[in-house]
Amino acid sequence: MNSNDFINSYINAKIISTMKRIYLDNASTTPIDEKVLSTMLSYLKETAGNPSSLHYEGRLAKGAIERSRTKIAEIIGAKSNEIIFTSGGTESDSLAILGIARANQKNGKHIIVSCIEHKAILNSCKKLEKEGFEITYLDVDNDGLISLEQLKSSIKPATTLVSIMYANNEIGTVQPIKQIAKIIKDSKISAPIFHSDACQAAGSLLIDINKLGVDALTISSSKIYGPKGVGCLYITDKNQIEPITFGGDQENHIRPGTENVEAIVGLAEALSISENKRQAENQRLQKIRDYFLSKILKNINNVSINGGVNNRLPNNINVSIRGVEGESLVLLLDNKGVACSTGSACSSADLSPSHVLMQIGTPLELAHCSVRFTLGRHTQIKDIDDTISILTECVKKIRSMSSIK
Amino acid sequence: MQNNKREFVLVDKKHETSNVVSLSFKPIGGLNYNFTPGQYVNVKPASIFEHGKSYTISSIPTDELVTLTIKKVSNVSLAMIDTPIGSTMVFDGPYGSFYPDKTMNDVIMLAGGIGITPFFSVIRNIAESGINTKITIIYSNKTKKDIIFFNSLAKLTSDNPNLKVISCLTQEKTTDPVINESRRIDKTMIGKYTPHLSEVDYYICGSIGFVGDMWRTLKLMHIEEDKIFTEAFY
Amino acid sequence: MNKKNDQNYSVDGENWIYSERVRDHFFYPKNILYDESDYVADGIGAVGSPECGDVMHVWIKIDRKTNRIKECKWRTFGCASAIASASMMSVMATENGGMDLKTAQNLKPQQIVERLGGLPDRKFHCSVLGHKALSNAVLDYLKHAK
Repeated sequence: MNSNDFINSYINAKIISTMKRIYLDNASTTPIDEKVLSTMLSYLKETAGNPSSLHYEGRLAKGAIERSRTKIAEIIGAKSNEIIFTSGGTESDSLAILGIARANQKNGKHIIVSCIEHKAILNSCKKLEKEGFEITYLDVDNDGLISLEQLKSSIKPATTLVSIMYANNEIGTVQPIKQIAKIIKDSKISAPIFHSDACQAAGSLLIDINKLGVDALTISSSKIYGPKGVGCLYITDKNQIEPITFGGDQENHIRPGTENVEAIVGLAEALSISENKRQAENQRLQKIRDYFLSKILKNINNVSINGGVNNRLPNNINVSIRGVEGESLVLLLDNKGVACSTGSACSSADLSPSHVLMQIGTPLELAHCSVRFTLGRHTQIKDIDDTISILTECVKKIRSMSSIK
Repeated sequence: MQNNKREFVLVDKKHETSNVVSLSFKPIGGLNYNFTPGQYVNVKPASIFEHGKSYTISSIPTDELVTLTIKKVSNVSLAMIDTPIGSTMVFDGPYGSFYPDKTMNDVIMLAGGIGITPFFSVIRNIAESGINTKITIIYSNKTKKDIIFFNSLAKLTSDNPNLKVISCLTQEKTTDPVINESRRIDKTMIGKYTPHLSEVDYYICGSIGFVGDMWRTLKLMHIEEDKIFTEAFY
Repeated sequence: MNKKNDQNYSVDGENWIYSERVRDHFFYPKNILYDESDYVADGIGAVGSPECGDVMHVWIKIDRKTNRIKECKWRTFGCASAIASASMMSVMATENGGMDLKTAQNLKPQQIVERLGGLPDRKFHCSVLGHKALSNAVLDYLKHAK
């Protein structure tokens, strides 16, 4: 593709994007916050140094990283040296699972995770299984919650790591992290490290590591109105972790590579803004979400809710609309200006339906009909009213040509 | 929708190559399982959530057991291959019409890897009553070790002068006389082994990519679309 | 690791996720049968299941004089590629005076994919639905025509 083709397709895209867009896929990624963007830009304009260099330009870059690190550490109640910068949530999760398991294997080779973790956790576990580790996948109930009893009885002397996601990206289920931490801490059988994937939780839920009782935590910038391609892993400085990539000595050798300075600056700013807005946003979003859900149930029949109504992120709706396949609905909605996502098999690269929906017991045919709306900072009530009328129209169109009546 | 379900019990497993396993099943209830060679069944191993898959039957109706020859590609095929002997499974089928009709023209079968399965069943079946028309199978694999049913195919060709099997390898160069070609199937190769292109029916079976490539190749050779029959495995 | 043809995006990727023809047949599908209660079909074919995430029903009418398909209607539960495949299949079955029955039984997924301007490999099975549903409808007609 030459630069003319690139420009032409960008112009075409702009034409389409001039229609009113209602973005309800914030769990996939969030638009960048204006303040975050301006902070990153002003940083970018000022310096171009490599943070590992000895000279002034390098020191400016290094200073920006360290100030960001301190800012993030303060927000979550950690020490600066306990924050490792990565390329995002997936890398932080992989680093947590592989790095912690391998570094502590002299104490045992048993890991406990929930069966609805993000693929970054689950596929890292699959890799560990090939290395001779034993993994226990905790079941979840129809609401998506793990059983604390099952967790307790799964801990054995060889258990070195427990990883349970704070809030689930598909159905929004919030696990009782404090209670989980207590069970782990009180265990006389073993002293595993407790990691939690907080990619969806940050910005909505408390992420003070002391109050939560976690030993490690993953945060992703792209979910909190920061730039894509950056995240961090918190891990207490008394715990061992090994690198999963190799190179120089950045991030204490745990995550070498020239740092994405401007993105790190953006992550810190984004987390700070999210934390400040958290309480007010939660209340606002919950009201809008509940209004949206009641309208869906009122206007469209044969709709079921996926996941529990309580213990759920305030911005998350995940429903199955009978007879309406997920990908076809998402594409029709997109054509009318609404962005959302689906757990249908047809929309995934490997043609398997959402593992989360499968684990909470959603019947296959309803999994194919699932659609997820995740509200965000820019979502207003008017957007919901517009979405409801568009959604009703699209459902009617698909149902009229559906083989399932 | 049809509801042709029958229960079977897994009685035998055979490793055909390093990643292909033949599973042989006995129908429960005594009666033989009726199917036409080239047909497939839908099965779902117990250990998976999602919907099962379709597998072509590689045995023939007069065999005592019904065999599915499966390549390890997905979690479904892995679950199938890991099914313990003695387990029961429900077959939904048989379905499909991927077989030469009774008024047989000469036939060219283009097979890629696991795509040999329907052809194996078809030629064994025809061989029972004698192969009267010319059947040429051009069978493509990566290496010699990947050739499925190698010995059985060799025996069938030595017993049936009307049957020819051309073996080609795409990732191994060899002077082994049993291998005929060391490259992908192309129009030159098809032309070389099928000098009488008219009055021939073409059957293609293999992966989506293989079937697509062969389809486009035959069209480049101006073969009529009505004379081409395809079955892609996915 | 095998690299499959899973390319969704053309140069115009920002505008749509599949080919232009898939787009056309998805947003403006042809030959849908909205209500079959008054429709007298000569043959009905069904394929797929709700658990699969794909179901296709096809109703055909045959011109007894020419023995060709004169009408081909459908409904589908499935993704954009499934809907587009059904729509394109129905167009192919009825264009140019309609397909003869032998050709209809042998309508290949590759032919549907070609007319749609291509589908990613992971959507190939949608074109197979179109082929099987039509083939089943023709078989149904032949079974009852005897």
